[in-house]
Amino acid sequence: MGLRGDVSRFAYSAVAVLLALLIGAVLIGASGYSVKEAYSNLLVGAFGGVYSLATTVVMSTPLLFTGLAVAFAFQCGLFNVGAEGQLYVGALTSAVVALALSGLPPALRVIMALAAGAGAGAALGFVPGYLKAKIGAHEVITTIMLNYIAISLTTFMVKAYFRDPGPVDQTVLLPPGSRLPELVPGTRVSLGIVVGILAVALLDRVIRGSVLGYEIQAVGRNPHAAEYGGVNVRARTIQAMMISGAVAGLAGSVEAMGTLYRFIPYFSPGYGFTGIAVAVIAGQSMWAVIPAAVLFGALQSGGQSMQLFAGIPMELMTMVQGLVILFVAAPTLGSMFLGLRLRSSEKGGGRA
Amino acid sequence: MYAVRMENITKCFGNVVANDGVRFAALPGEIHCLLGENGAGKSTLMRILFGLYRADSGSIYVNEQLANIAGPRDAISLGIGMVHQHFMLAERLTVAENIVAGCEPRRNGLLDYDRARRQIREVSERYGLAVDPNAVIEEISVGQQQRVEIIKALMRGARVLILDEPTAVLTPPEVDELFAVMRALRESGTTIVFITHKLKETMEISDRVTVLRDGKTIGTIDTSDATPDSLVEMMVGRSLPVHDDQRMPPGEVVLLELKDVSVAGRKGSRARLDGVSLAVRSGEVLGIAGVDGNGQLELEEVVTGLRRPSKGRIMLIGKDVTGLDTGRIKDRGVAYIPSDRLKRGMVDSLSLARNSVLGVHRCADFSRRGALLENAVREHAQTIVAKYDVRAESIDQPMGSLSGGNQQKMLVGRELARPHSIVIAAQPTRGLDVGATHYIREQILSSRNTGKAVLLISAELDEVLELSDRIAVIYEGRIVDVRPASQFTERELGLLMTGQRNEV
Amino acid sequence: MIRARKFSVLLGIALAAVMVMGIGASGAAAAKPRVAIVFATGGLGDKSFNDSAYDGMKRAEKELGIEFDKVEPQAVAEYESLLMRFAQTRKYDLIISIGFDQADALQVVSARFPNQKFAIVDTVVDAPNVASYAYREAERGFVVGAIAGLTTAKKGDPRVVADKQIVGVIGGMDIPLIRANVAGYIAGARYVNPKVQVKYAYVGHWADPAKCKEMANAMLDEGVDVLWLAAGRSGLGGIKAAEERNRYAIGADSDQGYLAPNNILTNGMKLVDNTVYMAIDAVLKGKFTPGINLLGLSEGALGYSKNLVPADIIAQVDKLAAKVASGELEVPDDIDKVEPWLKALGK
Repeated sequence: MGLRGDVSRFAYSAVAVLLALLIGAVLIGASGYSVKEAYSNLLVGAFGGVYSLATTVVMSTPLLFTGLAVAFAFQCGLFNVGAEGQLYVGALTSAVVALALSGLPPALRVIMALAAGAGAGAALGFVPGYLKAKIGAHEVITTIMLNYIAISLTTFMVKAYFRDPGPVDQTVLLPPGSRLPELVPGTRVSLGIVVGILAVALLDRVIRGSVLGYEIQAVGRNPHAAEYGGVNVRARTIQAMMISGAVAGLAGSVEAMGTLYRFIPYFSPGYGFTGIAVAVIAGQSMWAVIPAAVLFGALQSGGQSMQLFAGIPMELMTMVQGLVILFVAAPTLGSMFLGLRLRSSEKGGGRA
Repeated sequence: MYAVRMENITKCFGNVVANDGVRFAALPGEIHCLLGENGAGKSTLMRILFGLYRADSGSIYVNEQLANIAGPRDAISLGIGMVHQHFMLAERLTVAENIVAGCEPRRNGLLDYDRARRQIREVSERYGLAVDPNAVIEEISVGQQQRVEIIKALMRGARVLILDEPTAVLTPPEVDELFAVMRALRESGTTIVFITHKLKETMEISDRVTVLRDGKTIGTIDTSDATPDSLVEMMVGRSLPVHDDQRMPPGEVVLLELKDVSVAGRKGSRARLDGVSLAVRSGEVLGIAGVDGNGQLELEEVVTGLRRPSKGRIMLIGKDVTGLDTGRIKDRGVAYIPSDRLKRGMVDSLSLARNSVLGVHRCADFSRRGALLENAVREHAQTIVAKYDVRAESIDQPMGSLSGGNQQKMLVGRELARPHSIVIAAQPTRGLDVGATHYIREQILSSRNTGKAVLLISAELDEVLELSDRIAVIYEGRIVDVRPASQFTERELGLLMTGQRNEV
Repeated sequence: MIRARKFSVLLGIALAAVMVMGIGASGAAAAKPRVAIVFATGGLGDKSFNDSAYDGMKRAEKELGIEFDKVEPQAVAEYESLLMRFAQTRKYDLIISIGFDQADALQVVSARFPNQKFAIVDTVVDAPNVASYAYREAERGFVVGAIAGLTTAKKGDPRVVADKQIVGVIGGMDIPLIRANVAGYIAGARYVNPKVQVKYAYVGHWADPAKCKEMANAMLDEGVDVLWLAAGRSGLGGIKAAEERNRYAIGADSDQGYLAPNNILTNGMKLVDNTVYMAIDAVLKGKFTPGINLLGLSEGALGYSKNLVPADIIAQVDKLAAKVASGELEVPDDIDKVEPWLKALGK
């Protein structure tokens, strides 16, 4: 909360990243690789030059959306583990709609395809929201289940109805007018990142300046008080889950329309799950999702160079990334699961 | 010679100074009241004496010997015992097992329960602390649990017994019994330090009083030299005005009515509310007196729509509102001060500003086309903070960072600021200090004076007696009697509340 | 965004601090030829394409004296940036893509670096600086078909149905590449055993083992005793069916013997290690050939594994394979061409 909270949060995250990298350094050194080479490649690969920066942005974009989706659901006290599934239905829907509307002007085509992807994600988000509101089914369980369904269903749909007539199970390549325009020519930095930042700005307004956001926050923090305050707790739960699903769906849309230019089954390496880590780091602030997503994007992009040029095996690189997640996110995650509140330590010790 | 003497005790928690050069001294064989508002530093001081906290500076003398108390074990070995506000008993063990835990009498390395039981009987008979050593803790009353704690302290050789707000959890008859025990202990030479913020009890039981305010000692006086007014002035730093009684006569219009309302219990158990019929008229306070847990919470929830009655109707201003949700009921002119303010009344991690509009945030004053009007919300919060004397650094701080009294003022302010003709006030001063209590009671009376109908549900008998025009006594979910307040005596109410109707 | 920038700075400081503490020096400039390889997303340890390609790289390192860098992508979305980053350094003599799903990315990157040589295995990218390595699929069908045709005539083997002499093949999809395999298989079986009958079918999916098992069972019901599964992951279902009924199955691409040690007769192998080695060797010898490079038995890029194949059959099949490799025998790559081809040979 507040500027001071943000600053100390970021100071903490910075220390955690440093610590994780130090331990990573020990692991890299112990495995017989050059730490200096590894980390200089990590840094240069993430931020050194236009293409590196662009790759960082490309890698950050889906995480920006999934992180935002999870962070928004957090505001309503919901833990959306289903961003991965929502991303898949969003990606396929957008790819199919973008192909089907090839007669329309490109701008209209792109907007409608994005909207369709968001709608598909929202529809998938509706299910756990409804189950939670009506019968109290825990959203963690239902969203995990729906992930399997969504991933398998999209794969099946591609094979059965939308298959490119080649040897590979994937949809047809999108014609240029159905793609998200490239912002930086020669990289895959697309309009998607702008859409992402707009989504952050919009949801920040919703949370901080709208009746809906106010009610969602009240439900998330104290549903009893929300009920007392005349808030329709069930409706807000469903709506929050749908909005979260829509944003996660957009992650898929942007990936399909701006990066891959088609839908490919199993294309996501777990963007939806990494989004949870992004959201945990971002905490209560929607804007903080951006730097948190960039942190992971940079690790991924820098990690490429680490693998390419320092010869660090993927396993070691993934371990360094894992350490960063662990150090940055674990305290918050732990307190979330154990129900311990950081606040209680601040409150304790008053005059009895 | 003092039994205990504490000199210049200072204790800080972070930036908060809980004790600031406090002096305190108790004579052997006296009942010494430690009086002060919530947050004055009473409990902190006694926890230091009992070794639960370490003082930052200052010294403690027991029987005029400088004592180094590093933990409760040291305190116990010096003859100091403490009964906490929240008991430290194992619910599933027997009385005897609880008492001997930590200082078990042994024979051949085994627990000697026979000896333990004998000792317990001895102690309890000597001081009139009747309790069955074989009873399981969770099955005995709160008053009896308190006795177990006292026996436990005495059996460990306590010559100085600290009682932290012992009456807060007791019914009036139990308070009388506790006082009898305290007097018996005094006769045997035990020093009792009695922490309280209640003036009446102080005047009744104590020999001397030490008043703390804002972590400082204001003074120690003989109770015989004190008056309630002089003690209030010492506690609060100013005298409290008498409630303004410029009031309209009660009207005849019934604004809130319950017709034969019942709330079913869980399967097999008796109804939580059983055929309750009540009517509250404009310009009157109807007080519900009763021991906690006799249907007050159900009554509160059923009237405000948080719970649906299993039977009966609820009428607001002549209209049936049975089954409407809380939001709709409040929109029909109900201000509702919930008994559980942390659970129901506020979102503790949101700011004061945000909390100041909870429940009215959808009305045109505070939102337009789905957007919150930030400035209007802030202005509203500022108004409440100023009008209700809420002590806060800023309206942007989280509600949870306020003290209980200030939270309650904020909440009462919010509820009374909304357009209303009926006030439902449930436990409105629970856990609040004298100043805040006084203030909130005044607000309730001034609501009544402007013609509102007030339903007051309170476990504090004093409060019900002080504020109500009529009193309804609730026992086991039934209204056992309704009369004008002036027609009840306190003793009568006490008996009715505990179900001893026939003895009235 | 201000926070983002601030955070980047913090991250930068953190990294710089770590680098200062770093140990060891960066590698000296290499004088040896350098090759880069981008694996498919399955990563190393897949017991298939990636592992086989890695073996090829190691062999090239030892025998051809190259140095190489490798990378295991975690997502399809990474292919392009990985290829791009390799290409940007301009220090690789060849950059190799493994697997058909890199085609999109390679199409883009190769166009942007026209002077960089690329190779892609198992699919075709049409670009002037890309050597696409594909296979004369019919040839491996031919050798395993021949093994099948000889095996079904064996007597006394409990896995062979007496007096029927029927063999089968199940393809993943009805596409030219698979049809060539099937045609080769029929040709091989009939060439060595004119009495043999060959059944064939297509699953329609690469990853539907259940359907494949159903189809396999139908064939086994008809008396098929040697069944080739050229159907990707779907083939697992067919192998399972053969194992349950105790008949022979033939695997595809890599050695699948571990799946059913008593029933996998042989495998129609794609030797990606040899392919990769060849691609590197060609570049080193100045014989880089953009466009489609079809490889087969003669190049050692296709073959079979010995598994349960008896020595006498190995001897016969090796002779046949040598004829194909030398060009003496040209295997038909379409089913319709099989009968005329047999007739022409007088069989």
